[in-house]
Amino acid sequence: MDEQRFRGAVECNRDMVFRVAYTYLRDAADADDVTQNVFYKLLTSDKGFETDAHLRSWLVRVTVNECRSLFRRPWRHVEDIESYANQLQMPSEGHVHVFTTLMRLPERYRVPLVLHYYGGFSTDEVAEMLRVPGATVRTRLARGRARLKMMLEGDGYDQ
Amino acid sequence: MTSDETRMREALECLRAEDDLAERVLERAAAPRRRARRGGPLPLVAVVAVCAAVLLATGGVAYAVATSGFFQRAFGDHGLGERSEWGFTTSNGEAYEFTREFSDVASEGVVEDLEAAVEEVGLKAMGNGYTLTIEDMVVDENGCGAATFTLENPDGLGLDAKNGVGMWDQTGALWLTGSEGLDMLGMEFADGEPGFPNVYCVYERDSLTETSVRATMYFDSFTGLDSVLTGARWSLDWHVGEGGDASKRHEAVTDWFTPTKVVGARGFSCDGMSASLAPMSVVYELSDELADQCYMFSASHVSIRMKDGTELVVSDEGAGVVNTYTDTGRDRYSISHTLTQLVDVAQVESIAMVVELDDGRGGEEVREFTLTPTA
Repeated sequence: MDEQRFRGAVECNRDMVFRVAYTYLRDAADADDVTQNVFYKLLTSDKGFETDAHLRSWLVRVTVNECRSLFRRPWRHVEDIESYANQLQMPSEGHVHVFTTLMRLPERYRVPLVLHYYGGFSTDEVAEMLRVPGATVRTRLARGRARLKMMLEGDGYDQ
Repeated sequence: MTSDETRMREALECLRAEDDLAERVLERAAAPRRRARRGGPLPLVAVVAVCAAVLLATGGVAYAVATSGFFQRAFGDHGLGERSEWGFTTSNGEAYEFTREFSDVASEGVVEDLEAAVEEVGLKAMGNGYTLTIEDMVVDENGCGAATFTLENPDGLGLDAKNGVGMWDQTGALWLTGSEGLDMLGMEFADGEPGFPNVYCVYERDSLTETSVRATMYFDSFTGLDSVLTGARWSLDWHVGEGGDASKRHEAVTDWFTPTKVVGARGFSCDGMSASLAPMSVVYELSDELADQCYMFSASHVSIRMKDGTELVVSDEGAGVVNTYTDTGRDRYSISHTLTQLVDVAQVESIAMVVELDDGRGGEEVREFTLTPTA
């Protein structure tokens, strides 16, 4: 990929890739490593993309694979999610609370939730990215939403 | 979209990648490549060294020598020999026999990598004459792990392995019952979910004296890594006087310890089942589709097949193989084990399971699964 197109792709998609990586890894430094690896693969790939949506899907699929590879490292550092969220200057305490609760969901729920509700990918697209059946994604979305609601209510969180 | 979903989107939008990402990637791509080896084949000495290393790592069951202090202690044989055997006979005359093996199958390289994940805890709890010192700890992605500790009492521990007082000679288990002056050695997490992990303690035979013993506490958090990361502390529990009156119970606890390192795990799956395998533990979970079809499940056989053709049996009900320290039903569709043998997860080819699906109405279906790596 030529430099100009690459820079354009980075500008449009780097935050999304970082957010998906963070959702998986829950560590900003690791998420940054994965983001860098993903865009390195884009730069050095000779793959053509018909549309921006096509590129976006490819980037997310590669991010998911990179995150899974990272889990195979012998060990990794972990950071406190709430401390990280407080550094980000979110609009309200409520946002910090929803974010930290979301990130405390099991991976099988929080990743589909983020890909679908934040990333805007359809359940079939999420299924392809995660290599699970579409029905599994729909079930996990429903259960993830229910678990998130229960955790937020259990904390006495007032919407 | 609900307000929570809106807040989720808005919160995620606060996460931003570094501004210099493009420059760093371009710089990385422009870095000169490593020059290819010159001069043809490796010298003979180097070839022999490489072959020897490969043989050590892959020949048969790799009973590699663990060079690390923590892993040698926590995943060694505790002075029980390569294999521990025990059993009991029921009042009906049915005899049950069990075996447990401790030899670790991880390569030296893997143990060295894991050693970096061990964190020094250095916390004490003191009560009723006893001092519990938590020395080191390691935790993995599954929320399982091990903590080494020393238990001391200058007036005597009150433990008697030969007569089963507080410890069980055949398995090395440290199993307090209250008659020793201590009711329990415990562990809990700061989030209180569910508060008390599943723990099992094994002592080092050659460390046991009248006044002190060294041991390892293996733990399974029940709810996963996040509970452990909220903070862990350990406790001594004892009672004064007779009976179960709560007012007579006492507890001494350590300060909180928050881990900052986590040992990685690798995902495995097949239709109907998924698993997360770490060097020290495995969690397996029924798929949503199968979970909808049954009330609960159990596994009568779990084994790990290595790329070199060897097999590590985690558990086998029929053969009485219990190569686990803890066995935890996390919920009706998820079971986890802490393992007695370290596993080099990168060398695992598949996980084989025989599972019984209980329909909750007395019916049971047996299924076999072979899980392969997801990545």
